[in-house]
Amino acid sequence: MTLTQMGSRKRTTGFRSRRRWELFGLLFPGLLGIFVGFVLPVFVMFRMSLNTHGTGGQLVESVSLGAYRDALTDPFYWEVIGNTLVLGLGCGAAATVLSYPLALFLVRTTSKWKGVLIALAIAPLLTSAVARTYGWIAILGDQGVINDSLMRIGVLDAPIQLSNNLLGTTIALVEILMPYAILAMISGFGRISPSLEEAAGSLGASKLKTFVRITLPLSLPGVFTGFLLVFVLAISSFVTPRLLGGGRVFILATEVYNEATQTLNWPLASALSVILLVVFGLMIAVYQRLIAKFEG
Amino acid sequence: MSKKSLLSAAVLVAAISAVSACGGSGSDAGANTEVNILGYAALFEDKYTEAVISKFEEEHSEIDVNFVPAQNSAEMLGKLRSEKANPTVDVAIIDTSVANTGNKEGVFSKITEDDVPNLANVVDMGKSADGFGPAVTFDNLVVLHNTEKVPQAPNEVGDLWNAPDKSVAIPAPPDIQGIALTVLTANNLGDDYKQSIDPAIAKLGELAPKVTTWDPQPDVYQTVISGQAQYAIGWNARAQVFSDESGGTLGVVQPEDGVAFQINTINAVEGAKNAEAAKTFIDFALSKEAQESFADTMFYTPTVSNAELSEDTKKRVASPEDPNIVDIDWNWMSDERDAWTEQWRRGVIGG
Repeated sequence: MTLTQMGSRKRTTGFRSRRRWELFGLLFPGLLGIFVGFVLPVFVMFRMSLNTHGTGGQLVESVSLGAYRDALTDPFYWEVIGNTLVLGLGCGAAATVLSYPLALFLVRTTSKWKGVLIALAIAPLLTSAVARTYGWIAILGDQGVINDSLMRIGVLDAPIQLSNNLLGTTIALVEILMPYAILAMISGFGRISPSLEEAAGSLGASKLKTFVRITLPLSLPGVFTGFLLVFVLAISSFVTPRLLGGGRVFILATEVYNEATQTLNWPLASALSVILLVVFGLMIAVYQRLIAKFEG
Repeated sequence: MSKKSLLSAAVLVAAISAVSACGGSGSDAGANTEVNILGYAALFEDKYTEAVISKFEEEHSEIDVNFVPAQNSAEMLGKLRSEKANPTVDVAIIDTSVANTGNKEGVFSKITEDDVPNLANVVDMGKSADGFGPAVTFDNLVVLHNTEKVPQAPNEVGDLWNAPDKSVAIPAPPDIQGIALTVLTANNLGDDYKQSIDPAIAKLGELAPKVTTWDPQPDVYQTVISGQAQYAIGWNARAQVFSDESGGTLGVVQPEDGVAFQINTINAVEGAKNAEAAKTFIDFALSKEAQESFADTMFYTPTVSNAELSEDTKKRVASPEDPNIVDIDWNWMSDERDAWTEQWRRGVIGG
């Protein structure tokens, strides 16, 4: 090796090392934020889940899997996990189906009002979920707009129960979470080239066939992203199930709240939170597999 | 030493002197001390400030009171647990079952009659067997109804079973109103709730079709006033206030088939920075004057034997000497609350 080559390699190594430090310097504030705002609290929560629940809610410092055993051997908590998944999957499916045509329209429209229409689609996010949930209480309640109207026109003799149960919670959550699905789909659909549909059309494919064979498969990554977003937001939602569930909707988020603030069983509340985190993780793993399958 | 070093040292000395002079210690001559009270937010905070804290500040102008609001007792205990090594509050007004947990964890310190002379006047039901914070308010479970929608007012808890379907609001356990209802139901059936609540759970299961919500929002009082439910159970003090505010739409009935008391205790925080001021405040809170004033303002039953209530207030609060009192061991209950909640979910809400 010549001296020139050695000098060149040294310069390259020095450059790479400097680049690495610059990169680290740029990432450091973000990494610190994630560590302080997420990793550390999750660690504290996990540590709390290893403590035990003494008499009268007393917190006993220990290292035990008792809280996990309590959660996973009690059929009630399996029912709670099941309810949480049903709510997440139901809201995810309904919000995706209802948002799909809207998102596709918003991506494809050539109207000069396109920007305004997109803003209108996501405008509900400007109002808090609490206010919108109270709005749904007024609509779905026994004396709400729907029951009142149906009774006035003689369709119903007595109100049907649309609130204080899982149905009301799902209806409200779907409406509350739809803007997220629409946003995710709009960003996913933007990558579909209209020329592919034009090519299918020029080769004689009908509009329906073009949609089924071209548009739908290409839009699936956006659909999955929208579904995942609604799913994770639904299974971690607390306000809407609490306000509209009428004490009949038992999901992980409401149980964590009850255990932490009512029965003072912090280890069990933490263990349930860790279980919720595992459900998130599993769902994200499934999502990545699906994305890899449809994009790869 | 160089001029620069001398100048730096002078600045440092001046800064230390300034910090010492302005130090946060409330014990400086001429400066007011303070006492920080942790208690229930919103209505309780407003009424307690009006009825008790303002009077205390008039009487003890050397002590400033800061009210630190919290949504419920568990939130208060959470705060006290997290700042156990360096508490920022001196006194906590907290439900007795949660206070018991705090006592076991060393969050609160014991109180003696030497520190708090008015402790001698607290009735037996309000005294802590272990010498911790005594009761500062008594409240009791009442039956609520919407006077515009219910033609015949109920007389007792048992009348809820005669209500129309989907017309009742019940805050189910772990809410302690649901726990108190379970005790009253067991009592009506002639059972000892410490032995078994199975018959009470079966009876409450018969109530389920009448119930529109097991988790009234934003609270049970507004649920009845707005007509979302026609009947409910609730706590007397808040019910009386909301009854007045609603112009009588919220009807409040002291049940004839049993009086279930809830107890809020007043506690001195262990390691509090203003321990002396805290004792002074606790003593005032247990005084005849403060207890009568709060009863007149928010209809909490006084916990001291020397309090004398006006005839009007007497009619609207339960007496700790009422023969219909169904004794609830809230300390025992704090161990059973999880199990009872589970029984409710299986046998009442889901049943």
